Amino acid sequence: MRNPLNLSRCFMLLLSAVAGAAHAEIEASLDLRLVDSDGRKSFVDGGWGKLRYPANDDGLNLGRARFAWRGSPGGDWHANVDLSAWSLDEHNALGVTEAWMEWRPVPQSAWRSNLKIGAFYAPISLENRAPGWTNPYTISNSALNTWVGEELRTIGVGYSLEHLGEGSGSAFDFGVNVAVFGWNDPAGVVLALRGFAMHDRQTSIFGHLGTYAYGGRDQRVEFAEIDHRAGYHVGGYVKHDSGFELSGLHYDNRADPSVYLESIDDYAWNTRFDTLGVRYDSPRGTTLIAQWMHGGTAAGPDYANRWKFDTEFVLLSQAVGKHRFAVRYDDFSTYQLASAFPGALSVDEGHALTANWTWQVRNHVEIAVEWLDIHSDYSARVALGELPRADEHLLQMALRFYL
Amino acid sequence: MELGTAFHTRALASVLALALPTLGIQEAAAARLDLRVVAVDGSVLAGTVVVVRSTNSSRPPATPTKGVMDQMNREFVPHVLIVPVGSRVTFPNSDTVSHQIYSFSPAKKFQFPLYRGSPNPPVDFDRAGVVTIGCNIHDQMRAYVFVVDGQYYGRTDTSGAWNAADVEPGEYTVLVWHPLSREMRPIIEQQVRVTDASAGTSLTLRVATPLKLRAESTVPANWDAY
Repeated sequence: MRNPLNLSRCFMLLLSAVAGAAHAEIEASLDLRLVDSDGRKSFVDGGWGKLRYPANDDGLNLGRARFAWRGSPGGDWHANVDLSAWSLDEHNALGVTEAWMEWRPVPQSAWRSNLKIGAFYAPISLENRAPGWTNPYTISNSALNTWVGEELRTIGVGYSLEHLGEGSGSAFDFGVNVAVFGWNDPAGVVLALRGFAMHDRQTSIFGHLGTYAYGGRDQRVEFAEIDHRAGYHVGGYVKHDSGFELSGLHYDNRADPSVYLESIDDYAWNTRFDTLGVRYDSPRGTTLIAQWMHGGTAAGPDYANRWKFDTEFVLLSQAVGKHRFAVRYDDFSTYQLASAFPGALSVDEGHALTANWTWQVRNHVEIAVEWLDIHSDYSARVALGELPRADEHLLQMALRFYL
Repeated sequence: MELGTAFHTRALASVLALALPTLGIQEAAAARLDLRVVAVDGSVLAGTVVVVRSTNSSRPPATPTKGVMDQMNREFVPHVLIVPVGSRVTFPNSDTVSHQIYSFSPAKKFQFPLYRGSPNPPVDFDRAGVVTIGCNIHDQMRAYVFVVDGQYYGRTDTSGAWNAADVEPGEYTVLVWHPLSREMRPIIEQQVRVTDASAGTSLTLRVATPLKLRAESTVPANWDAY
C-alpha cells in the first residue's frame, strides 16, 4: 500500500499468475442503449445531473461492452478478471472493474470457507448478482448500489465462513465475512460533492469518475491509497430455505482526512457506513428486495468538512416465462454537517421511481426497456446558475447480446 | 419324420417340464401393488420417492443400473435420480461453463475438479442413503441421488400415485421420501403385506405430521446465470 502505482504492479502480477491457467473460460457481452432523456448535464461530464445519459445523449449509445476471463490456475484457486468499456468517448474506454483470485476449496462438511485476494465488490448488493456485477432486474441500479459501483471496491484480502444448512438438515444458511483493504481513500467524495445518482456505470479500478465543476476539473481518481492506513468491512447473512435472506455490512475505510495527495489533488475521505438488506425469492418468480444504508464522510484537517448520507429502496420483481417485470422506489439524501468554508451547508434530497421490463428473446439475446423518473433538490446547483430542483426522466432500451 | 416329431415333442416337454414350475411360481407370485401418497391434510404428494423393501433380509435389492445425471443450463438433469445400491452414475457436463461438483453426504462423499464434457469415471453408489450433489461454483445447483436397497422403487406421479405390476407376495416395508424435505429421512415408513389376490394390493399412505419443505424455484436458473 505504498503508492497507487503498486496497484498496477499487483494487477500485472495477478494477470501473469492466471494467464497460464489450465481451465479458462471467457464471457463477453454487448449492451447497446437507445436513449430518450431530458436529464441535466451528467455527472459523467462534470455536471450535477443524476443520470448517466443527459438530454444531448438521445439516440444510440454504448451501454457496456464486457469481456471477462475466469480460470483455475490449479488446486482450489480460481481467478477472475472483468473488463468493461462504458462509452466510446474519452471516459474510460476500457477498464478493469474486478480482478481477483479466490481460494475456494470444495466443502467437506456443512462448513465452507474461502479467501479472496485482489479487487472485488464487498458483499453489499442484493440486486447486482448477475455476471459482471450487473443487475438482472433493472437497467439502472438503485441509488444505493449505484454508489457502490461508483466509489467502492475492496482492494485487499477478504475471508468468509459459511454454514450450509442443507448438508446438516437445517433450514438456515448463514455466513460471516471480513475484509482488509487499501486504495479506497477517495470513497465518499462523489456523495459529498454531487450526492446520489442512478445508473449502471461502474468505475474501473484504474479509471475516473466525473463529479463536479469546481476548478475546471471534472474527473476524479476513485481508487488510490492516500494515507497508508488500511480500511475494513465486516458483514454477515442469514438465509432461510423458504427464500428469505437478511444481510448486513459495516464499512470503514479508516482514512485520515487530514492527509492530502497532490498527484490526484485529493484528501483521504474518511467514510464509514452501515447497510442492511432483506430479500425474498418466491418459488413462483417473485423477488422482493429492500435495502437501507446510513453513513458519513469527512475530508480536510480536523474533519472540517463533514457529510452524512442515507438511502433506501424497495424493489419488486416478477418473472413470467421469458419476461421479467420490476418496479423500484428509491429515496436518498446527503446533508453537509460542517464546512471549512463560509457559506450555506449543502443539501441533496431526492427520490425516484423505476419501472423495467426485460425479455429473454432467445438464448444470448435480451431486450430491456426502462422508465426512470428521478427528482432531486440539490442546493449547490445554484452555484452553476441552475435551479436546485431537477426533475429528470429517462426512457431507455437495452439490446444485449451474450457470447 | 415321426422320429423327428417325437424327438421334438419330447424335447419340448422336457423344456416345459423345467420351465413350467418356474413360470408357474412367477405367474402366481406377480402381484400388483398400487400406492397413493397423501399429506396429513389429504392433499396428493407428487414426486415423492417410494421404496419397497422386503422384510426378508436375504432377498437381494433390485439389480444395479447405470445412471446419468447431466448438467444443463446450470441445473442438474434430472435433479432427483433413484438408483439401486451398487449402481454406477456418470455426471457429464453439457454446459459451456465448467462445474465443480461434490457431495459431502455420509452415503457417498466425492468430488470432481472443474470440468466440462465427460472426463470423469462413473461414481459407485455402494451404500444406501440420500446423496446431495452440489456445485462449488454455482450454489443454486442442487440434486439428489437416492441410493435404495429395496426390490421396487419409483416416484409418485402428479396424482400422488405409484405402482409396481410384478411384486412378489410377502411382507414389505414401504419407505417414502420427499426430495424437498429438510431432514433427509423418510416421511413415511410402513409395513405392507402384498398378497397374490388377483385384485392386487392397493393402499393410501398418509404422512403423520405436516411437512416442512424447502421452497423450490420454478424460475429457470439461467435468469441470474453467473
